Amino acid sequence: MATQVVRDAVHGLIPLDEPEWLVPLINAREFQRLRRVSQLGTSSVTYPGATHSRFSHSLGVMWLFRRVAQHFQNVGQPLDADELQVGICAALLHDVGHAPFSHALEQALGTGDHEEWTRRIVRSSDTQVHQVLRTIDRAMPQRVEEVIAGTSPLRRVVGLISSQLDVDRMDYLLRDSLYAGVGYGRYDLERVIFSLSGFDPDGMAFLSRKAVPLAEQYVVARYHMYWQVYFHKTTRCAERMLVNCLRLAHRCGVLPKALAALAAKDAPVNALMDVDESDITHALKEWATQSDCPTLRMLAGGVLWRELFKAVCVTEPEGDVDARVFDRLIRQGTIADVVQGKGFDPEFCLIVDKASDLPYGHYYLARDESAADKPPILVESGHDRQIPLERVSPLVRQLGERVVRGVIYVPAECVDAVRRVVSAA
Amino acid sequence: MESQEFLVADMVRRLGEVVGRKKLQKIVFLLKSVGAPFVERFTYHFYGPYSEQLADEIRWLVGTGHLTEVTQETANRHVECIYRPGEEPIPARLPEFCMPLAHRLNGYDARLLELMATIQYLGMQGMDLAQAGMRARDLKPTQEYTDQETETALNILTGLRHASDGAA
Repeated sequence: MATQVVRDAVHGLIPLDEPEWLVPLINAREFQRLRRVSQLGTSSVTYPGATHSRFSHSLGVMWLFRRVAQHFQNVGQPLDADELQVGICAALLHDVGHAPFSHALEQALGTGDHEEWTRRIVRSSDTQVHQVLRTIDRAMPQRVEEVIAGTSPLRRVVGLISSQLDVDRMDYLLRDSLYAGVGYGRYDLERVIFSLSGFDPDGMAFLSRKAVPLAEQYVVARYHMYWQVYFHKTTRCAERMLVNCLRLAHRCGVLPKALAALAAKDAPVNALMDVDESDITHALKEWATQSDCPTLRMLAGGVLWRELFKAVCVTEPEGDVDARVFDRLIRQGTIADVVQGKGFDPEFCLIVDKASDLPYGHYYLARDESAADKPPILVESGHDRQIPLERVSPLVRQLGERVVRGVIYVPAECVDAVRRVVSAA
Repeated sequence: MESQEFLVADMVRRLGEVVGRKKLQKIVFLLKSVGAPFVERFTYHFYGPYSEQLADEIRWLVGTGHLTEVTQETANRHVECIYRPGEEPIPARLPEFCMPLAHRLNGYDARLLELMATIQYLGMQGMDLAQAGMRARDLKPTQEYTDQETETALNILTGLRHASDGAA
């Protein structure tokens, strides 16, 4: 009977007794830092409940990897011991390099992307994560790094951790949906796991033919979560204001020491370990109340107190502005002139945001023509063959094109004037 | 959109036509790997180095009239995408040294470009080219690349590096 367990809001009890290195890996400082990095960044301005952490998500991904591995064991297609060890480590650590407000910080300070940081944390002999991995096997850091980079020869493990039907996505849809308090992300997890039937020659897990409706539900859940939660206009506005706030603070030379160290070229791996959301929040409070720069005060206060810019121009199909008109308005500087005329610096107070998503990367197009970066979800078609989900699902086929939405945000004082310009364009 | 994000549209304009999404992705990756000033970030995915950012930009460039994308059915009843210049002016220009390389790459098929891009990516991660060639085949068992294809890819990559060194 398990003696060490955590109680998880999505999956219930998660036992941690085995393998024996699991608790030391979770206790590594780099992993513990994830308690102070929220999973959804600025989403809580829109969905107040969405304050859960990357720590709980990472535990959930690790647990789902184990559950899926157990399922394949039950159906006579077990992962080998090596795949299991590497997979558990990679599932647990796949997000360990996320900075607070990850994408905002990456954009504002050029801190490098989270995947590269994850790999550095795993690779660097200075980290506790690396040291625990070395106790499992001397080559374990490199092997975990390869899975995270996608270049590992353990293709089944790579597929289970990063594909269109992976344990990362399986967890975050349910978790984000639960904490945001929306129903969009729900799907039948138990049945999806139960329906996993085997692996194709590329190492991709496939589903039984009966699971087509389940897979459809899963794909549609993802589609709605992206546009209703992750790309919500209010959330995106807060994130872009935070980006501009950090950029301006960087330019003014007022970044706190820990953030400045992270922004430095060739920042050492522990620079990330010193930064979490409390550093950003603290800086925002200081800038909002004490900065000499009115733009910095406005941006910091805007994020802190939810006094956000307003969306004034949204491209089709969500809005009614043609993408060409949108593009010309920006490139010709028409809206920037209006914002400047109202006394605001357009470099920081005119936000042009483009959100984009591919709901499902399908192979209705030729293999070489896919818009996708990941293989399709596969279902059985008899005679030991698998076919892409979109071949048997007209619904999923409809979700195979990339969607891009452009939005312009400006301070409330500029809204009427900008709307007049947009209407006349 | 920053002006550098229009470079792909300028490249298509000067090539006249690029057939295939994968081909366009791999050409940009390979050019970037030898010094072309593309800003898109590439990571490794199932079919080799791939840039989500580039895919977004292409979609946007099509939507804003800087590129056109048409689809056509192939002999085996698949659909492929063809990129051609749009009617909007392009506010960026790819440096001259890139274009002979771009023309050359545009002459190869997507399958070979996938292999070349994968080898190049693995090489950039610290593997030597021969080792990268072997790993690339491990990563793509169903593509069933032959020894000859791998050798061809390695030779082209070596030539690309020399060409870009000479140009620089």
